[in-house]
Amino acid sequence: MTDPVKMTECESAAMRTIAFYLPQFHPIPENDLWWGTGFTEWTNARRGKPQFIGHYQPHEPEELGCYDLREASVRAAQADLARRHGVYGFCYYFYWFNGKRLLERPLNDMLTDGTPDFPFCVCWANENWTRRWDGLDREILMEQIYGPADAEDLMLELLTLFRDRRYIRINGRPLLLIYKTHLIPDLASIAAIWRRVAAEAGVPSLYLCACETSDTLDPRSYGFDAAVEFPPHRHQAVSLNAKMPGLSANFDGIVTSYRSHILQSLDRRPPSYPLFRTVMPMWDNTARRQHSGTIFTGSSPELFGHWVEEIVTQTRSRLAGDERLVFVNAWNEWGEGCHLEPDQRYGRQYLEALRDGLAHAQSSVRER
Amino acid sequence: MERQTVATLLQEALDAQRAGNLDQASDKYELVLLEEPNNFDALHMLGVICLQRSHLERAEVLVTQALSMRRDTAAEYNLSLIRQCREFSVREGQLCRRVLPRLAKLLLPAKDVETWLRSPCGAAHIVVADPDVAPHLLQQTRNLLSLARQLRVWFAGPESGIVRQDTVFERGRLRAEAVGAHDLAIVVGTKLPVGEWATDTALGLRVLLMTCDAPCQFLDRFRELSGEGRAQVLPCFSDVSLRDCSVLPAPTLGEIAATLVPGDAMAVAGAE
Repeated sequence: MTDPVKMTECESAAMRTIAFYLPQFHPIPENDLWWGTGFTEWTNARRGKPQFIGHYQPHEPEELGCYDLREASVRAAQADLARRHGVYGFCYYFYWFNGKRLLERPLNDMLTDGTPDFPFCVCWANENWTRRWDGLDREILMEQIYGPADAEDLMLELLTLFRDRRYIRINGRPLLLIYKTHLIPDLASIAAIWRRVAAEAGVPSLYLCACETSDTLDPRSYGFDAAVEFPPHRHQAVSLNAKMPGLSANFDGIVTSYRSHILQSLDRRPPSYPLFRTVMPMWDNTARRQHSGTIFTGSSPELFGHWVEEIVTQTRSRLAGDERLVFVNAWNEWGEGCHLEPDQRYGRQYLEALRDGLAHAQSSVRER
Repeated sequence: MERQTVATLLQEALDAQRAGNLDQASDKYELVLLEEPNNFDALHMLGVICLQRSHLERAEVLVTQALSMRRDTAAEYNLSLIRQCREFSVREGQLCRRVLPRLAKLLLPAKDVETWLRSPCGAAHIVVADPDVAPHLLQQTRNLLSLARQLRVWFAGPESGIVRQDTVFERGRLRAEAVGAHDLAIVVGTKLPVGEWATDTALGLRVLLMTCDAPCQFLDRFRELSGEGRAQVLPCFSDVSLRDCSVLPAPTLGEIAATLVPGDAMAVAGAE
């Protein structure tokens, strides 16, 4: 992490905005079996129902439609839309279970076709797959098992990605995110194995990043380089359930404040360890969780744009060069009501808010 | 009311509150307070209901009054919670005030009001989104629209969005055939949600007339009234007539943002 006092020499370095990208928009045999033939994330998204008067559900896509990620034209349109609104690259969720990959096709097709010509990195989504979406928690569909041999196998699989010229790097080091580090026993040893295997294959030193999805230690303590925020994780929720008009009697989730989340984010003191900040346009996972979901109410493109501007400004003042990254959760989490992609209610407004927020932050630097 | 009755009412109120029936619980606590204005439990728990509903000012008054009766750890904790929430509410207001200028592209040029007033072929819908709106302001608004072919007044409600007042509304929404493209909607106040009807209708003109505002409410109502960004809205202060808007520039959002002060409604209301 760069010393702030040396920052001025790198002040002109571009800010890179990376959006988390869900590939679950094409059928796969496993999902057909577990959830029914033809299941994709659109199946989840369509299940959204309003839980109170004025509740925005379901979220329906606008210009990109209910796309299928097996189509190259869809991936090209996404990249084009992202690029024109200031998104530097996508962070694909990488589903790997001890040698078995799921939802790998969009990433594989992109590597094979060479299109879209758009930067990317991956986040190993190292959770078990369960039937949680249907409320049948703990029924494990795909299980993660951790061990030294698995660590080597995972890295060998990832090396193909790291060698792609589009892969996002920090000072030449491939950026790899791990979704839930706390699930991995003896993580320091595992991280060392990953680094060794990568080095033996001639890949420059990895830039390992832990997602803040639980109580997070200093990532350097287990051999990582940095952490990345993952809102709405860590949100201190104040329930607004009692004031939501006509709240469904069956609803046992929580309605909380988007504005409050922004304030908590802006209040956060920089930790001692390197941290990449993350913003989210909105969040409402009732489409997946139904009555037990979490709803952040009060989101608007204006609030999101302001949040972007503030976080980019903070990042610019604290980080330099290649480490000037800001993440967005998410590009297309339709089942979690969390997407930059245009929907029928807002169109491109959140994308435009991102673009404008980035521009405002840049212009404020120039004015300084 | 006998002592036994007060005790029974308190228990019923508490049961209702625990079951989430806040209206019922609130009514029962109020009944107790009519009989015993200094009843500690009723004051305290009614304050908690106000906290649950984000009526923070009254919540603080009630719990403070309860604590003047006697010391109580739970009430003291709740009072600190209320004060934290109030502080946070103020900060949310500050956040929204900073954000308001980003709505600039949704501002309606004032000349559109002049155009509308010169060709009064539409109906005027006045939606009262402030339960405390002064009657004279409502009358003033009606008078301003004397040229309108039809004038209809609706009242927003906290539970149902728009309360049905006429056959024009059906299930809280304006029926499309009842609303013309040249119709005008004036939303008076920002306290209550106007619901999704603005999104679902093709009103010719939308005006937000502020009477008592906080930045958060203003941001939310402005968003709703614009159909989540699909239409432009003309903001007015309550002491600026629509006719004035046709010759005077409407306040900019920057001006509004600088004026809106949480808890200081009269700074905006002016006419009241």
